[in-house]
Amino acid sequence: MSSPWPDLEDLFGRLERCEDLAEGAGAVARFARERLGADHAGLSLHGEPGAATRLALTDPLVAELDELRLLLHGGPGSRPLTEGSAASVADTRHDPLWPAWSTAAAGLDVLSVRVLGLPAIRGHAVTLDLYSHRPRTFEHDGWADLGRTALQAGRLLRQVDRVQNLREALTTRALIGQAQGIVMERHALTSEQAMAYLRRVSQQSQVKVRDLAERIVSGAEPR
Amino acid sequence: MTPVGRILMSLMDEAGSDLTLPELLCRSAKRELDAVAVGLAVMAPDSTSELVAASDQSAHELEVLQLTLGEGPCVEAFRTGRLVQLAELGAGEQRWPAYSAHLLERGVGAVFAFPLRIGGIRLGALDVYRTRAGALDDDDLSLALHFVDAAVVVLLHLQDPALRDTLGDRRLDDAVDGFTTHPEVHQATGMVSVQAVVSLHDALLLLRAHAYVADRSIIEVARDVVARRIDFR
Repeated sequence: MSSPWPDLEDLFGRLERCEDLAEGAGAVARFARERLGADHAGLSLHGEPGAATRLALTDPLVAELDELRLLLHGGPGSRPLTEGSAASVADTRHDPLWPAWSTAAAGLDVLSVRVLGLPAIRGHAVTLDLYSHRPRTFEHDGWADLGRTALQAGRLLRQVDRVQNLREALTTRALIGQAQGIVMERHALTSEQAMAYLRRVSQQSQVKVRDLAERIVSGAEPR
Repeated sequence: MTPVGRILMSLMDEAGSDLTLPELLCRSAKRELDAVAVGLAVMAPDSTSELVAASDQSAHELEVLQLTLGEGPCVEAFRTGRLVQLAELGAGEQRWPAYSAHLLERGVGAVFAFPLRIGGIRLGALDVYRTRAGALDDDDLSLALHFVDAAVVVLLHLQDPALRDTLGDRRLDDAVDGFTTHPEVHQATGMVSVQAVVSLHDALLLLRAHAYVADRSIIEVARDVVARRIDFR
């Protein structure tokens, strides 16, 4: 099998241009469809126990499968998996594990599933769900390599998320500081008073301090 | 173990001291690269707001000097994503004369600014200051690059709450903890923009110009603005 690195480099190039985690997850889901043999794919973040949040999906069929999971109280991918572990349904037409969900999935022509635990992001488990219209798509020997490629893709996503997190932290600090200064000057306040003022307005108007600061700062720029 | 792994392990050994991981990394780099000071600067894309970690007080002053001037090898390394070397500061450096003069005054003979990057994403720079002039030899250069890689790892790991917990450093409960920040520069920028009726960008330039003319650091000037000892009206 060929080296996954050119593919991963290409993915990284795409991830670098993503603005947030959801967009990055979308790039990984599309990558899974293009390079990992899936017909449909989705990424979930497992925050609160029992609550998987869809970060991204390649198409509406994945949302339909999610709804079935809720409706039928279970199915592959509803629980968090640790990094590197996997759950799968080789053939949804003969699945003892989630019979109700699998029968419904087979009815949608989804015949095999593999769920991979990717590296956790911000301390929360992440899973990649892969769906195929053919049975046993993710069971063959060569697929182990693809599984490793998926893990690498998950690591890249985490890297990019951390960078964005850092950048956002920098921007937030600058915005809040600048807004503080503007408020200090306009209302003759000390920096502490200005911060208290921002917090109060933020609470009253239900706008995050960061967003309020951005509004103040952009309004202060002469045009 | 890889060289980067070895660097990170040695930092973990020292964790729990009063210093944060970024500061420990700067200290370790200073020691191993025979430098007089090592600083780590993290910058936003507009290269204004930055976080600084330094091996010691003198390194911190050197980092702040670039913040004051708004230019220098660190800013350049960040902007271009390339290593910037001023190996012969005494030989009449033409590019940043004011900056170079300040460095010589402080006994620095050479400075090397390594960009911190992940792929095409630029994060900041690791600055290595040495007393003696001359380029880094091959061993030092590769060691410095390992420190750069280690710095990126430290920086990214600080973004992860779970990892911050494993590091066991309870002071690191914010994504930018472990670094010195200067909120007064942002606050003063906001104040000056109102006082002088200029954009925030120009307000920062005014602060820099004032600091430069008065031969002070931008942080001192910013503190004076915040305390209303200086007014730009």
